[in-house]
This record gives sequence, structure tokens and C-alpha cells, in this order.
Amino acid sequence: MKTLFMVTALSVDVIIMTGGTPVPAPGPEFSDVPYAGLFGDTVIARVVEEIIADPHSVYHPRDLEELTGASSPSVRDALATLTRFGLLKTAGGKHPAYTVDRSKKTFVALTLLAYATLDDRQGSDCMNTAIPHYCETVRSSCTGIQVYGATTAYRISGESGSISPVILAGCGNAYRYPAGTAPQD
Amino acid sequence: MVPAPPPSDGITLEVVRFLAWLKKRGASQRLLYCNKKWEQKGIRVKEICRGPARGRMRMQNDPSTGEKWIVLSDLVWADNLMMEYGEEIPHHSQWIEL
Repeated sequence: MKTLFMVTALSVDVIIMTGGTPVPAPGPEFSDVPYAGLFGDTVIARVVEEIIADPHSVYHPRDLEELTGASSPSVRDALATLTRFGLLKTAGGKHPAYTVDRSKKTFVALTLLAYATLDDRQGSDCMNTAIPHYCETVRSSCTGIQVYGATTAYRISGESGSISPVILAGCGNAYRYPAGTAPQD
Repeated sequence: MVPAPPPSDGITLEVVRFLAWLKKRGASQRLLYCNKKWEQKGIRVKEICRGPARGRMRMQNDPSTGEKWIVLSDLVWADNLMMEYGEEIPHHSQWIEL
């Protein structure tokens, strides 16, 4: 008689799921690979993750070298790339300091990506919480926020003496733009 | 920036920014790294674990390396604080406190 197949007992660990139980994390819990490894563990990914996570700090190349454990040239390259893309603004010639340009949509998208990778790993709902809140704040800024801060209306005039559109400015600051190029933001 | 609510229970803007940073870095990070970045800003991570974030953020050893990690476990609590302080997505269109 031949043995066609064997039946063996397998032990399977089961977590009883309830409505609020988060989905178990697929990856290792203790990992600091940026964006859960979506872009690999590169210097630029590490720098991006750091500046997106803390967009308020002023970054110096040396700080980022210490924080990321990367070499000076690779951090400089990463910073140059991010400056070229407009995600970072730089000041200071010999000892440059970098700040995050939070007006960039790339910044908003990468912030949401940080939440998305966390959600996919932990089964949380951070991204879906952030999106409506973001939309609310953006919409309110687009619908008459100047009314609250404005005390004086300034007429912006060009060099030629022609009058460009009237801009309401808060805080008593007047700005001078060439006629017809006054920004609406 | 949204006008910061008055500090309560040891929660300050800097603490919320630390929580936001931790959350955006996967909600867990080496204690060493947390200290390296945040101590200079006056954030004492262990004190936050024991104080305002008690039961919501914990210190845990990585069994494979023995390293201490800080793990943010209550993401909803962190979310609410971040929204309250305008730190969820701190973009340029938010209110600025004059």
C-alpha cells in the first residue's frame, strides 16, 4: 500500500476580531524605515520623512546628518534635490538653513502618505480623519478670511500710476505690485 | 497656525508637535532618536509617557535588539490633540495668531 497524502495538525493563532479591533500589523513593529519601506531605506527618503514629520524646525545639514546617520555629501545632495522640487526653502550662503515650504501640495500629500502607511500597517484611520479636517481649513481660508483680519483696505498701484485691483490686507501691511499682477492668494 | 488652546494637563504645543512627529514616523521610534531630536526643544519623552500621555504612549523594549522604543498606542487621542492645535496637516492656509 502506498501513502498518497498525510494529514497533520497545524496550529493557527487566531485573534478574535471585534468592531474596533485593529488589523494586526503585517510588518515589524520596531522599524524606522521611512514610509514603511515604500521608497526603500535611502537618505532622501529619511530626510523627507523627517522634514514632513516636523515641518516647523529649521534644518541644518549637520543636524540631518546626525539624525539620519547619513554622510555629509548624501545629505547635501538630498537637500539640494528637495530644494529644487520646492519642498524646502534655503537661506544663508555658507551655512545654509532649510525650512519646509508648507504651501506646497507635495507637503500636504506626503503628510497624508505618512498617515496612509501607518493606517495600512496598523489598521488605524488617521488619513481619513486628516482629510476632512484639511478640507475644512482650506475651504475656510478660501472664503473670506480677510474679513476677520482686515482693518484697512489698501489700493495697490503700479509704477505707471495705473490702478490695480484693491487688495484687503490684515496687520496693516501694504504691498506694492506691478499693475495687473497682484496675487489673489 | 491655529491659536493654541491654553495648556492643560501638561499638554503644550511642543508636546503636540512631538506627538505629531511620532505619529508621522509610524507611531514608534527609538527612545534614543526621540531624545536626540526633542530634548533640545525641552521635550522629556519619558516624562510625557509617565505624565500627560500615560496609558496612551509607552516605552517598550525591542526584543530582538533590546533597544528602548517609544510607541504611541492611542492614535485617536493624538489625532484629536493634533486637530485642536492645528498640527494634523500644518499647511500655510491655516489661521495665524496675531
